[in-house]
Amino acid sequence: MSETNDMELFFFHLMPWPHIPADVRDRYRSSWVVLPNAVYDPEEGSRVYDQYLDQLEFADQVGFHAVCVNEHHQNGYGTMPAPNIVAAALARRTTRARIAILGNGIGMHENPLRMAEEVAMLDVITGGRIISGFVRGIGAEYFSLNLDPSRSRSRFLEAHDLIVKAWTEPGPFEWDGPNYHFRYVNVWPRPLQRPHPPIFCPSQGSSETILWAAEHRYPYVCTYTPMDQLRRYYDLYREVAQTRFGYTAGREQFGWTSMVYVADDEKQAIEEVRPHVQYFAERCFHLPPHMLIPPGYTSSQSLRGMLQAQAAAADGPRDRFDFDNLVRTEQALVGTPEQVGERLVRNMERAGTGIFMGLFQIGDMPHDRAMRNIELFAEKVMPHLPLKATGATAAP
Amino acid sequence: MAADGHATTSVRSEHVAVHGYDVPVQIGGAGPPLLLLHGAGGAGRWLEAHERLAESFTVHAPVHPGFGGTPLPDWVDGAEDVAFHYVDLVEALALRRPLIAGVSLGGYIATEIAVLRPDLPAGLVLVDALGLRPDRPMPDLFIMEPLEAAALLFADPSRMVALLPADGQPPGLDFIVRQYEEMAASARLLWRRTYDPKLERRLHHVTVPTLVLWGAGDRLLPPAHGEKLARMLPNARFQLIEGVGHVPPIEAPGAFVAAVREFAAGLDLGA
Repeated sequence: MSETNDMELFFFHLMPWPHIPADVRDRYRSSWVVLPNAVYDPEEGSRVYDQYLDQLEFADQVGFHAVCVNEHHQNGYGTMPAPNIVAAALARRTTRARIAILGNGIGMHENPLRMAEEVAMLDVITGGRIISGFVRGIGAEYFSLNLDPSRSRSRFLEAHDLIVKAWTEPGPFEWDGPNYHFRYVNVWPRPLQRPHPPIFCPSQGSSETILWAAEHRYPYVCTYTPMDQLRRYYDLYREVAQTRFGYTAGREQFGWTSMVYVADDEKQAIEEVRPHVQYFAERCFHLPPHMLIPPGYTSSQSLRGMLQAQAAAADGPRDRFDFDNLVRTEQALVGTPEQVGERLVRNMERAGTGIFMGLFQIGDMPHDRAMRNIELFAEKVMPHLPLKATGATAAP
Repeated sequence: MAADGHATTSVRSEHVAVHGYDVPVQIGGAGPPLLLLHGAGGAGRWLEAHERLAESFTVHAPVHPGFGGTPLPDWVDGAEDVAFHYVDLVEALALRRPLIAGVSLGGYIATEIAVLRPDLPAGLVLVDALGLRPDRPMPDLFIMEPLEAAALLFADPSRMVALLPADGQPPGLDFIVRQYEEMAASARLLWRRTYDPKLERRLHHVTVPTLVLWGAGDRLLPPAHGEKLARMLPNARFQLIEGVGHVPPIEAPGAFVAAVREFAAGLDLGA
């Protein structure tokens, strides 16, 4: 166990739609892109947003270092197509926690300067509490937004360069790139944090992204990745940081994500959370591989690596989101406060990560159950974790 | 031998440099020059249709950018870019007034070439060609599973076997990665739009004799679309091939080649 108190706790939320039909796998190609929006009920949606925002605000009150929002389009998995709107809703209702936008799909939008402006606004409004994640968006989004996936990486990289320059160099200046052209780049307001809000890089483990994140020293976060695989990705980051870019990557550069559910009794915890994890796995993540990785979204080299890893893995891809498999591969921490705390610390050590991102509301988990989960974790697990003092968080 | 067991005579693979970009071209047969542009599947394959065409033409079958293991260049943004590229290729190959035939995506590119350079081809064969805006939305092949797409494209999906690995082995890693790359190259040309909205106002430039050839059972772009395309071209005739879907050269190579030969017989083709 590390002697220093340097662990940071991020409260992750997906805002899933809790009423995806049970027969979604039989009736629809996916719960993304083509699941009819008649399934969404705005009146129920109003209630659900209210509860989800309450959960995020509660996480701030009980001492999480950050609350997280993210961008996904036209699906039942996560009802946050505009994460900056949710961040804005949280801006003046939270006081201590950072607001981590993990992330904005910067290359998915025709105008990345709009992203630069919104995040800068949020940073100024929150007094510098914003963490700015940048993502490419998952493959399904390229269907929903009619974006050519073969331009995905090129647009992402250019949007990143443009936004960082807009935040750090005096405007106005001209931007002339292969994907974007602006005669006048002159972003008002400028962000409060200097040189800019911390940039995080959430990813699915493609080697190009790992190299890119390591080069820029951006904290790297893999989601839905079994622990053994996750360690290989993070080892690659550490290795290229050292050998190619000449620095030692610290624990604060790595995040580890897991679902969390605590109850007084282990059996009770498993019984209570299992249906919600199954809901998440079977209904929220009903997404065939060719929609997750559409043509050109990933490089031939990464595709080859993925297929080889899949062939070598003991578990077929279909079992990946099975409840027991998620528990076994440390993607779900379920049990008593002691068990969850012990596994959390042990895995942070194994992965060499300084940031833990917990998903406490899972699938169709109702509000009261999610709130009890957060409360119990805050009361009985957090006091035993080597947490960094709040107020001295992620800013580099 | 070709995959289908048809005896091949003298097909050779050449690499032609076009502005520093390497283009693999299969060349075979004897007779007037024919530039044959493949669809989204079937790049770099010498199939029965090629073999039969080679009996009457000198067939030149290039691989579109990003297909057949070639890199997908940044300068490719749409079918029009590939058309410019092929205008240069025709010059590099020193083809004088070739017959240009294109299937599906290849038909789209062939149409763009003819709009761009109406003087370039001696004749045009557009087979179940994309390009013109369809009256009804075209089904999205990218969102379909491969077998589902095959069922839509072929009147008899078992004929898709022609596009499986030539060695008869089940698809391995290399084959899957190659398919993915070619889908990416197709995505570059077709993802945002499967047609060129500007063609409607440009088709009247194509005064060259044109054969619009269509699978009677095409469920991706029904024959009515082909008839409309033929009506909009000043000098075109429409012809159906019965019993086949979107890809007549694979499903009915004999009927396809016979139609091309008959059409070509009425043209003034250089040797």
